[in-house]
Amino acid sequence: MIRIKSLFVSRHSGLLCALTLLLVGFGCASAQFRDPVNLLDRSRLWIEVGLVAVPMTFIIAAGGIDLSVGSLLALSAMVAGLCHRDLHWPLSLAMGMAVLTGTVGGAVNGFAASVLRVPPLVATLATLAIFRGLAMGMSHGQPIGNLPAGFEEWGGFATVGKGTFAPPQQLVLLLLFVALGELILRKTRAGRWTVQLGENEVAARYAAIPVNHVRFGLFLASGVVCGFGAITYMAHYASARPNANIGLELEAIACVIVGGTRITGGSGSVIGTFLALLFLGLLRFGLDMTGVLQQTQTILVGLLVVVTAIFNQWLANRHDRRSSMAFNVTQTEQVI
Amino acid sequence: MMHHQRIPGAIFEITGIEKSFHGVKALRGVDLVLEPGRIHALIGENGAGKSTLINIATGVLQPDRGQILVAGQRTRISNPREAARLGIHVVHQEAEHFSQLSIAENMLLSEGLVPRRALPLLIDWPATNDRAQHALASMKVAGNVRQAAGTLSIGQRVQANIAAAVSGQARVLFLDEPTASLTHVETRTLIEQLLRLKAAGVAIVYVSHRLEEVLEISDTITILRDGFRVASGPARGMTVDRLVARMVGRKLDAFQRGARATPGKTVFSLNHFSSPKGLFRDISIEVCRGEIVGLYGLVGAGRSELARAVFGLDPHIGDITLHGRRLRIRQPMAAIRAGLAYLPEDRLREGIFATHSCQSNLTAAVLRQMGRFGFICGRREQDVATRVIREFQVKLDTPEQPINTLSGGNQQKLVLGRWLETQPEVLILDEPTRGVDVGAKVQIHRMIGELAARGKAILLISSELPEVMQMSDRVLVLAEGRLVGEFDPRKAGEDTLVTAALPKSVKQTGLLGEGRPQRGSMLEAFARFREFGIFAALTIIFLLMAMARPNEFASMKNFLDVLTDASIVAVGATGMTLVIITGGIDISVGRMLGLVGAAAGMLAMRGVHPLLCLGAAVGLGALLSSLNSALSALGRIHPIVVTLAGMSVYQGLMQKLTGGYEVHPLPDGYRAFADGDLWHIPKMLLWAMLVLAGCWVLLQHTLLGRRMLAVGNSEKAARLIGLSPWRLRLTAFAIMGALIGLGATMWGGYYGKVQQNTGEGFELKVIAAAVVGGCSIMGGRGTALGTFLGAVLIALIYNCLVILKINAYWQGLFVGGLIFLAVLVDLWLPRLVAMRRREGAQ
Repeated sequence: MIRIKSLFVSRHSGLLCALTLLLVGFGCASAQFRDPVNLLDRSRLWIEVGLVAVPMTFIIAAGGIDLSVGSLLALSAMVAGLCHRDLHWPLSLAMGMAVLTGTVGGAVNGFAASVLRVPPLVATLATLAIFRGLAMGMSHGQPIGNLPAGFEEWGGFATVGKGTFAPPQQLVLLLLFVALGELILRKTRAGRWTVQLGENEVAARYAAIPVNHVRFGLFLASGVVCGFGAITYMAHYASARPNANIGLELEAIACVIVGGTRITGGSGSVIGTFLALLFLGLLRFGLDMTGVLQQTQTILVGLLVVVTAIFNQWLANRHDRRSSMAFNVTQTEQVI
Repeated sequence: MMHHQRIPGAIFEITGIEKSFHGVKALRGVDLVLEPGRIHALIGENGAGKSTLINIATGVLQPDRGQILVAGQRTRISNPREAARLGIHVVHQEAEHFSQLSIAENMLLSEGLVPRRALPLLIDWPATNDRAQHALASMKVAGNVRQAAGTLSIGQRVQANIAAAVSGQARVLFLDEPTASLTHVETRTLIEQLLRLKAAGVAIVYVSHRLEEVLEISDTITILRDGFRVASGPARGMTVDRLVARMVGRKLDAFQRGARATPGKTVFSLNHFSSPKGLFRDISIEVCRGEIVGLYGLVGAGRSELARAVFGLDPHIGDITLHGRRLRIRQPMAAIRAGLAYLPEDRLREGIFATHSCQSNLTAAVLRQMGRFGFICGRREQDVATRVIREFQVKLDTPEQPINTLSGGNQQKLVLGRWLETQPEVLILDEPTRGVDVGAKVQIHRMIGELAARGKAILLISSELPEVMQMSDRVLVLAEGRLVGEFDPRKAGEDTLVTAALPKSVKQTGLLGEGRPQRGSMLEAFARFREFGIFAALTIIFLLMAMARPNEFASMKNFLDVLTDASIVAVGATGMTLVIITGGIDISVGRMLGLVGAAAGMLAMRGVHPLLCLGAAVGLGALLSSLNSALSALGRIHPIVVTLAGMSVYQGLMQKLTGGYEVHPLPDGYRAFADGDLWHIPKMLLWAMLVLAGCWVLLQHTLLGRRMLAVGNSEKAARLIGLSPWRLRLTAFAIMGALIGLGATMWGGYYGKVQQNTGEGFELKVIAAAVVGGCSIMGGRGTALGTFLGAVLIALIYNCLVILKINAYWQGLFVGGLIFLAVLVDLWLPRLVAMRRREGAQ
């Protein structure tokens, strides 16, 4: 128990402190911020970022990157929208199509990054353009609305339970998804293989780790999640838009970096990513509520990402130095 | 402590040098005195501190304590280039090189590229190549120095490096194991050269494990052990035995295998086993139960390549059998299932996950057994770790600690433990005691002995002769990829094995093998001149369109429109090419274009002189980019993180600056930069051509450009010759920023306004143009012309879509497809070429 606690504290203590400060600070400054209804409702804006940030954590921990998630999410939504509007498919089937589209898109990324050995940065840069082009072309740049009322109701208002503290259903789903992600990363073979691949790909091959399968699987999972993200997006915005979620990948990557996952791979934390999502989301919310201009917020968030990245790196270096000191001690003991 | 006295006539002295890495002492008060015209041998076991000493003497590392005297003057050698200027040259052991640059550049990049007489900023290539060619000729090596260095073998690279070092005005020459990968003939040539240099008065430091060689050529010998100088004296009267005794400091045979059981039945065999690449040929080996078969050979003889193929990491031809059953091994997993295990040669690169815990390093190959349904049972993993750690006496505090905090020997025990957990019947151990301290070495030897006693079949690969002799029941010798003999270590002498291991071919391999010039297939030509590919694509699209839509497409106006559209992207992409070449990337250029464009535009609207506005734009761009690069270097974070944040910051700043309004209308004086024609050519295009020309000159003809390419190609090699990666990267970023500033001015001039979304998505177009133009995202490769053509190709495709009345919304599809196509060509073409070349050779 103590070990778990110390692990948690040492890894995320900075973020937790910042988050607490943020809550207390804005809580004192703004009554609207304090209002739990407001606060919880606001979380509907982060669902898609939160969803794609979980597989993004895995992909970055494995030494890759996925720039195509925003485009793929828009494409999945578009396909579902077209199926519903033009082919008159029932909503459930159309949503199935969204997930299927995401899956196929993820498989394309995975195939390029594993079998074709294209660097993920370039491969997903290409699919970023391709998926967006498909979404724009299929829809002629026009949004698709007119979704069933019940679906929009779910997207905009559904909560778990009733009352002031009832969280949106999507938020609860996101929380479960984050927990699942953390479990997979820490406790399963797939998670272990992910960080080992990110740490040293050559050694992973020598240790008989199915490197290509792992890489393919991660991009595939990212695609599937984009498919599900398309569903929550359509429900929340009551439409599918071809130009939706431009820059979603960057927001997700920012969460992953601020959350303490190493950008070059080898270690990662889904909980960290989620805390970063909360932090960045609440920061923007608080700044909104205290009347800080949008442009100032954008600057602040950008600066924050750099500062935390440098801080994380500094922490890691300090840790390295400490452990090498420890090595020195054991060395001298050996000599004696 | 002995008082140090300056030896008269000494050209180079170092005294009391100490150096620690992360608290581990590598050198403890070492002295070295070099005199002109003498060969000074430096010997010691692996890890004794030889390479560290050389790195300090040649400015790669700075000592913690102690001093360096050059010709009696106390000198601080801050980097390898300064050392070269002082006449101190070095040939490093690994022969790190820049595979993408020519042999001549590899030889002369650090100091010797010849400047043009009229324009000293530019490189005089003919003179440079001549100089390199002469240097090679003096080493009696034939070959074309204009060829890319990536095509050379290690031995050839070493020769080229030695030739380069010798050609400079060397007063002191350090050679770190120069003959380790040379053939017998090449070694003799080298020794002749050294004796000639010695006669010419050069002081030579010669590091080698080949002690006979050392005794033959050296005048003085210094022996290092564990960072101490344990002996130094004249070579005359020394013997190999006495040197060895001083090197190891104890009797060599600390561990003796006990009585060997009579070998059992054959367990494992290879029959006519060959590599499709020809790295080894027709190998047949049998290993019996409880037997240790040594596999001895020089570096590059094909030993590790053989092991990799057996283990399924490389393809093979021929049979692998276990208990008489043929195995099908296409991947490591199959090998493990069959009961094979392979302890790799290079622990750091191939063996460990450096920052991960000891425990997870240990169980990496057996995770399937650590729990059910894909889960890892923490307790089961701990149990395994505790057992192995106790059994192998691994010294650590907790199994949770990162493995890189352990000493080499303890790391190796854990990696060996990983493979024993797979319950193998056959173990292939590749250099099991490399980089391991003496104590751990004995323990590992004992473990190997016990494994054999328990009935395992063991193939022991080693280049350390005593190890092979002590441990093996039989020794097989591999030379040039072929088995050349089998010996009984109790009867055969060490010299017999060494003689057998030496390459037999008497032919002078020299540079470039057969001396055949690189001409030939279309495929190769295409691979070498990547721009032709894009040019061909452009021409084909152009011709097709001209036939399909002659009226709309094939007009001069349309043609110039396409080029004008490509211009801003081309200017930005040229800068991005420099950044990507040095191994960086910048995803904030789009927002930067918007910000800088808005700032310059607002200045212009306030009535500031247009030229000043242009200057401000260029300066601001360069400043912002430099800041990105500096933050990335100082904070040691990937440029993609910094520029990701930069994107957000620039967007916010731009909105603040403009208050959310578009910058409009821009004055005519400002617009005159880019709007309209000059000499009937659009000004936009002129700017792009100017940038293209400038960048072409920079990359092809200046030292700075060549160094940028070098850093991106191999950062390690760049450090060894004293280039500063972060400085070069900063320069590349600054140039890119300046070009973005220019692009922003062009934008404002051409469109007459700067909007809030100006530059949105620009970064993607710019990176796409660079990648389509043949720029490698891994760094080290890219040309200005290629990038320009890439930008034109993208613009042409947009143009075609418009003319064919295909909805512009689809354009992303085509650009993305183009990126894929370009990358796939870049990835697979070299492989195809290599394959064809091999087929041609066979």
